Amino acid sequence: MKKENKETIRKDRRTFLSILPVGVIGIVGASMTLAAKRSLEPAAGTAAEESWKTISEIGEIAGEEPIEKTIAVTCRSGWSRSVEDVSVFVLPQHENKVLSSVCPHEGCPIVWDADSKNFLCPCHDSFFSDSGRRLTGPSTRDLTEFESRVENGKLQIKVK
Amino acid sequence: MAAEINIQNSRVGRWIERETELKSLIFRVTADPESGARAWARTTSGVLAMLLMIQVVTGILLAFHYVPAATTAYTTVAFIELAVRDGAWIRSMHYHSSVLLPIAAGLHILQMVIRSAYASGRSAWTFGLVLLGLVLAAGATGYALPWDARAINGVNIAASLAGNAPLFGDAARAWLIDGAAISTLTLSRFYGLHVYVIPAIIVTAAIMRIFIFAKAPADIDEHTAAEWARDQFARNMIVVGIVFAATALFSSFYPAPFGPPVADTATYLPRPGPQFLWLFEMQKYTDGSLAAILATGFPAVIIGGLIAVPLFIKRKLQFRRIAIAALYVVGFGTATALTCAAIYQDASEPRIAEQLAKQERDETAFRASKFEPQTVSAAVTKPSTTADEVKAEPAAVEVAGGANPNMIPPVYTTSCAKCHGASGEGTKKFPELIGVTTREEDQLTPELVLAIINDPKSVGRSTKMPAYHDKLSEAEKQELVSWIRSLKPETDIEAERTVQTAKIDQEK
Repeated sequence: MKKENKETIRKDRRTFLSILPVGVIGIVGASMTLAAKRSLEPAAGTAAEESWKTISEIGEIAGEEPIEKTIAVTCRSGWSRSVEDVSVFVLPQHENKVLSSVCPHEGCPIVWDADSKNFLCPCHDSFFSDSGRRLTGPSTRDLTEFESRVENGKLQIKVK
Repeated sequence: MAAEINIQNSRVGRWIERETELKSLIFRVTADPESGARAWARTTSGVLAMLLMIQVVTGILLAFHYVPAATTAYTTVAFIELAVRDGAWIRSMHYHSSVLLPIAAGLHILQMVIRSAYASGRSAWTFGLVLLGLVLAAGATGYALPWDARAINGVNIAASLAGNAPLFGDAARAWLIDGAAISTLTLSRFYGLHVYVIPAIIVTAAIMRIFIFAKAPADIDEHTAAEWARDQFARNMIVVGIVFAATALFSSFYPAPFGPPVADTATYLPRPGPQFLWLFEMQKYTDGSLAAILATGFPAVIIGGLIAVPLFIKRKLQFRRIAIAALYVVGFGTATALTCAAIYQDASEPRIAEQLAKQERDETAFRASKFEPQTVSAAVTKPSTTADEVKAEPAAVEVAGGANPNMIPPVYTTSCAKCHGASGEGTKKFPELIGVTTREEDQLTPELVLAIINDPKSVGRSTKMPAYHDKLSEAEKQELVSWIRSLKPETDIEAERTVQTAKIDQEK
């Protein structure tokens, strides 16, 4: 009887000694992994600090051709804040619709071609109509339109 | 009856045994079976390994957010402390482990002194001492990285200690701070040493200790060895678990110190981490080359002496024993005494104690504040703004025309550098631009330079260079012209400088 007890204790001890290191390594590893996961969660992205930005006086926008406007947007990314230039196209001929100048294909800046009355992307030859609708080329989407409003005679867009 | 878990007989265990040297490695590293207190004392190696692992992991996590430049270091550390999730805890773990490492190394060496382990395992003995030196070096260099008031004071002290070194003082100082004055380059030096050089040496030393200099166990049967290795591993893990839990818990309540920005250091009392209080206290009583010799000589003599004694004294065993014990007691005893003196003096001087308490309150207030991002010039879209800002600094070689030859216009880099070289020096097939406006044989006027940029063929120049009249804006062309005019051969700049210096002298 006594001998059996001793045998049990020895076996329990051996079990304990094999589980314990695994447990400690597991706890240390898990805490460091958790800290890594939490601290490396991606930032919310480059976010503009104000939402409605004035592009220009509504009276200044007229004509039959898109007007390129550059606005300064204060952006916050992580620990830094910077003023980035954002270039947009205002379309007086289409109820002052405001289009992003970034090609929806792979992000190159699009240009207005006055001869063909089209927007085109110099990178991969995507063509868009004067209202931003996709015509030909690798882009499968139309040019991105900004949400806009007229406030106190000023044309404003919502930046994110 | 509890189910018996035996890793060695599991499939994984058999695979490890078949495919690796792990088993023999564990036997070699944990040679000489012991039991009881002596076996528990030997768990210091496990603690050291765990602390080093924490330093590597937390160090890498900090590197994801930290930006090592004088303009950004403080903000990014504040960002880690205030905005990164668990950032304060990670930095605190890094800091407190750096304090624990020299202490753990000291205890590791102590147990080897007591067991006379230097006699049988000299590689383990030497490794322990080298590691102590390396973790101290890592702590000293890491001190600079937050670039706060503490860091600046620390770097100042390191620079003057280096400068006061006899014989090569000036060279040592210039190398350490990279130049004549403390600048953003100094931070780069400390960063490179702390993040790359010292960890690389520690890892190399650890690999050599484990894989090359491990000694095969004495003649013991395999069963005893296996039993011992398993028990000792478990002992190590128990102590490792306790130390880790304690450090983790402590770190969540006591964040790492972070001083005010460099700008307001006037009243700030910088205090180093506890592992450097002995050095701090030493500086109160020494000056000049004595300070420099003591600050580096004291640890060097103790560590070097402890390494050397078992190497050179092989016969008089009693004398060797006494010499090692004496070196250990003098070294660690002095360090402990100086540390206690430093703590006591700070606590007993009311004005100092009050200021230190105020600093603590300021830090608490800082930790409760909201992170304020730093305004930087536009990140990607407009590189020219950055150039403008740099230009505002007094340029070393400002020359007529306003442009600085070191300030390469971005449009040059994108449109011209491919053929004319990164800074106008030319390439194999295309001519250099340096001196084209001043050399006798060229003497290009600004108008001609502009015409060449617009269309080289129109003025009978190169046929290979494309015309840029519709590819660049007028402002960009003007920027290029004024920059090209600022390019002069080295000798011209030297001459101009001499003239300028002469002028200044005359005015005086």
